[in-house]
Amino acid sequence: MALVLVERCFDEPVGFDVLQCKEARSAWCLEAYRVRPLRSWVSEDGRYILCEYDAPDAESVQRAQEQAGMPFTRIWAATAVEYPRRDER
Amino acid sequence: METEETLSVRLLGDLEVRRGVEKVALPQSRKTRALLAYLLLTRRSHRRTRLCGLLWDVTDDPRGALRWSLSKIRPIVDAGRRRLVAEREGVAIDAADVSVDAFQVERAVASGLEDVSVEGLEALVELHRGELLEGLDLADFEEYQAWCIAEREQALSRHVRVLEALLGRLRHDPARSLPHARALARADSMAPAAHARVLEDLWALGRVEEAALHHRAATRQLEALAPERARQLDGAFAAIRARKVEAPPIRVESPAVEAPAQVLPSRAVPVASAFVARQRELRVARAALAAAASGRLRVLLLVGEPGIGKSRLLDKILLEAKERGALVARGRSWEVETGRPYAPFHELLRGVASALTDASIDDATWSFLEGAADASRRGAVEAAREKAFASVVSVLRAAAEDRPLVLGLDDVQWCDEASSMLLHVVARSLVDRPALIVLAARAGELVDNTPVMRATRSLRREVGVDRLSLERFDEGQTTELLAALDSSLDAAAVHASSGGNPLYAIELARAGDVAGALPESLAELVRDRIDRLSPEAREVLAFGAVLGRHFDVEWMVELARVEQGELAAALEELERHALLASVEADRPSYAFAHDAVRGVVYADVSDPRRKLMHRRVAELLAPRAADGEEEAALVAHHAQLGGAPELAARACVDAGRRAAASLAGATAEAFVRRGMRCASGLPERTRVPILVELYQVHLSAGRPRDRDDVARALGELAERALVLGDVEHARLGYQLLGYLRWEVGDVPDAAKHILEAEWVTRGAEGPERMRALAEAGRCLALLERNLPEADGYLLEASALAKQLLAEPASLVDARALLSCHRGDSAAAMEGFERAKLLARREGDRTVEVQVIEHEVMCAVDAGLLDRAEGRAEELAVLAEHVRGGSDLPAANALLALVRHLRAPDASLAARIDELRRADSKRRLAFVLNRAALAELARGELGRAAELAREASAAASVLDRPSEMAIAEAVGVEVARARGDEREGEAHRASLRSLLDARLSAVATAHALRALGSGDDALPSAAARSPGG
Repeated sequence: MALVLVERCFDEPVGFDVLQCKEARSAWCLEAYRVRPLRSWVSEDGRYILCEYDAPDAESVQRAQEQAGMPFTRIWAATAVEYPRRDER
Repeated sequence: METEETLSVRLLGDLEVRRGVEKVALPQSRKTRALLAYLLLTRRSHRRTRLCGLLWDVTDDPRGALRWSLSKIRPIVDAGRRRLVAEREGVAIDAADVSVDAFQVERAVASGLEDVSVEGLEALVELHRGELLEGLDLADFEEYQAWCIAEREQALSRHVRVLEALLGRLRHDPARSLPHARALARADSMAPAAHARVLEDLWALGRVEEAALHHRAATRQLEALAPERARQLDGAFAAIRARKVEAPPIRVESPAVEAPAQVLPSRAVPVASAFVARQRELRVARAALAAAASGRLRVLLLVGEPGIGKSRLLDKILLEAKERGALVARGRSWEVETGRPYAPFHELLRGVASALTDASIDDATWSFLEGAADASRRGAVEAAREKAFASVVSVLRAAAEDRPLVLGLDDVQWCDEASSMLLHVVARSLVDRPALIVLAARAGELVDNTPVMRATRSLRREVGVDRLSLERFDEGQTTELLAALDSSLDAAAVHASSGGNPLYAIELARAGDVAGALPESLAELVRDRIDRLSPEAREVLAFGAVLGRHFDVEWMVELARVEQGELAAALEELERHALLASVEADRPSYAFAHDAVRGVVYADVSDPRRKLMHRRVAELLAPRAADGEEEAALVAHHAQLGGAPELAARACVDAGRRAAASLAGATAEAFVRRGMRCASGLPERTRVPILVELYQVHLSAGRPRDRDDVARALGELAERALVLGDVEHARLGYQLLGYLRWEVGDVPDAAKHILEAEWVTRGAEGPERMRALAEAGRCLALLERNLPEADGYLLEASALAKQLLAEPASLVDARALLSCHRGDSAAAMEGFERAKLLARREGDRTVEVQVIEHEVMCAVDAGLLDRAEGRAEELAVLAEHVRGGSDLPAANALLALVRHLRAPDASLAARIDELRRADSKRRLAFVLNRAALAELARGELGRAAELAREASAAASVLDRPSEMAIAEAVGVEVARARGDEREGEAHRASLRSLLDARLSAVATAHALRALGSGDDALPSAAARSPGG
């Protein structure tokens, strides 16, 4: 399974709750594609959202997002790079 | 004038055929007797197929069974001349010169009873010895049973008319009229007027106490089932009492209802303790027991007519075995329970379990035996059965470890299908153990039970079965029996009357002082005894007969509407008269001392009353069945006989599910057929959902033979459900249809899939719901997962779309995807083209891109390279304009692939690399696999293997079996070309394991080619392949 990030950019601020609700309605679909939401970052002005998913590949996330009617700007598979903690440096 | 060859038949009461005055022995098979009666009564020719369907199950080899039955009937009717006309197609009995009692009554009634003398009417009454076709019920064969009930109703109404005519003439002769008035009250027991006539006659004769007693009994009976009629009778009785009578009442001034009834005594005889005669049989049994004790299984089959003493002998054998230190357990089948899987084994295994300390039957096994397995997953049920059987076997083997094990099964002629199977398994597993299995059966009816016959036949072949036929007593044995019963009756007379049937002789002894001639039949005898019981006891007895098996004392309080105290007294009375006996069960329960006696009591309850009683039982048991406490099969039985079709049909669904969960396929299908018949007359709103559920049971019981018919019916039902607004059943219908079209063994579990679909359409209405369903179906189709379910969603969405006059692109695309998977590329191509147009019209670019991509892939696999290239070019242009993601790299890779398939294209590698980076494993696996196939064809083995390896890895991350299979197929071919046996075998093994999955037609074709002929896995895969 891979880490996949979904970028969402909006001209106007968007309520994160609204998006979450929409995605929850298609939970069945996400599950079918084996796409698991991990966490999201929402910019303070509400115009940028970055969502992190655990999924087989980027296309699975794209298909699931399309089917759920979720707005997205870009979708890409990623590798998380952890910085060593200060005491380990 | 009766000559030796004059044939006369009695259909009223027990079936009887006489040649001159000589009684002809009838076949013991109930179905054969039923067939004889049917052919006689209907007086016309019937097609063989119709007769087969009337009396036999599809699993019974009906044509063979019919031939066998006809061969038994021929010698009976063909005396002097040929009467059985059995042609190739039609079968009839030419009864022109046969005297038939029912026809005599029919003719007399038809030509008017006004001119018939009192003696003539009495002779007609005399002909009615009992119910038409008494004891020839076949509850599992609805068509026959319905015919039988209709004929009985007619015969009964003729009997009532004759009695009424007679009573009309005898208005001033109460003494002569009374027996007929009683007969009318019996025949038309729910009619207050009939009882009033009895009261009137009794009152006129001054038999006041008897009148009060009859009034009490009749009121009780009416009150329980139709209270308003009880009040009518009260009114009538009050009017009678107000009348001045010729002979004034003696002693009792006012024969109040509360007057204590004086019950005439009948002789209570000690019974069960006596065991006489049967020494030869006992010797055989002892020898079998001794042989078994030496470590080898023996099976003993006791057969004989009803009342001959099979159960008594079985008990005696078990008792002796127990006294010799054997572990003994007993089970019994009941006629009303033939639809209840493993019924006799519940009792038997409880008996074994209670005697064991170190081994026990686990909960999972109990729950399987009680039909609690999940029927939707056939594989899981099969596994559960295997485990349950293994557990039963291991417990029984352990039980027979250090002492002999003796298992008794009584009345196996009614043994259910599942138990027959278990019996076979158990017997085979005990072959090398000190064990004795004793089966008791009515010989004639045994042949009517195909599963049991099959099991005993196999046992005879595999382990050997000693068959012990119990003959009738000779006069000496009857004398011995009477002596043991301490009876003063004349043994010779009893023997002559009973014909050597011990039960009959015992009943005669119980009847005590029989005045004058001995009763002619067991029925008459039992009837006489019952007439002497208290009203409460009679009521309890009647309900006991209707229940048909052992019954819970608590039920009786509700059924017979008696107080606890009254019930206790009634039960005691019935037990004292050895009509009922208490049986071992979790709660206090009773059963008839003998089923033959139950049969008499049952036949004696008038039809309308019987119907009401069955309904009452069904209503009592239904909530208990819903809680899993009782059996749905019983509810179905009683509701059907009680004329409650909706309750019966619903119970058939539940009972069918249980049977399917126990893998009793034929039983489940019998419930389906019964349920359908019951449901057929219901209003549509009730009928449609029940039928959908019955089809669900039908499919879970096994792959249907009539697939196309079922598919058509399901399609229509689902559409009706949709129109009726019953979304749940519409969905279930479409899901079942989907599963049927993909021919899978598993059937959707209603609860589970509806829960899942909830996600899809929660709160949605009309167009939104249709879209959600289409998306759900498409989602599954794209994922190549749960394809039957996807098909179900799409069918439902299509039906909704038709209603809404809509056609969404995603729906058409999804259907085309399934066609492509099935290998129907023409339909797929047409669908994709249509979907593309629709997507354009909807202005949905994303869907349009996806549809074209699907079309390219499908065209590639169908070898339509020109078309594939044209669409791929179109796709590459369009993909430029859609938002980021893997669409553009995929379009470019597909175009390069198509060109590479024509001639090596160096750009493909770079395009594949872009696709890798875009992280689109589905398309990557597709492109890599097709490229690998091309390299293979060109002899580039190394490259082919490398591409296939990567394709396999990508496909397995997504769990896409078709692409994995193609990759493995390439692996097999490469290894073969290289002569690498080990590598080849590894790929073949992986490929074979993938054949269990639902592969696309293309993948199946590659897999089959790679595996070549002679591989064991092939036939099933080829059969399952949706394309062929």
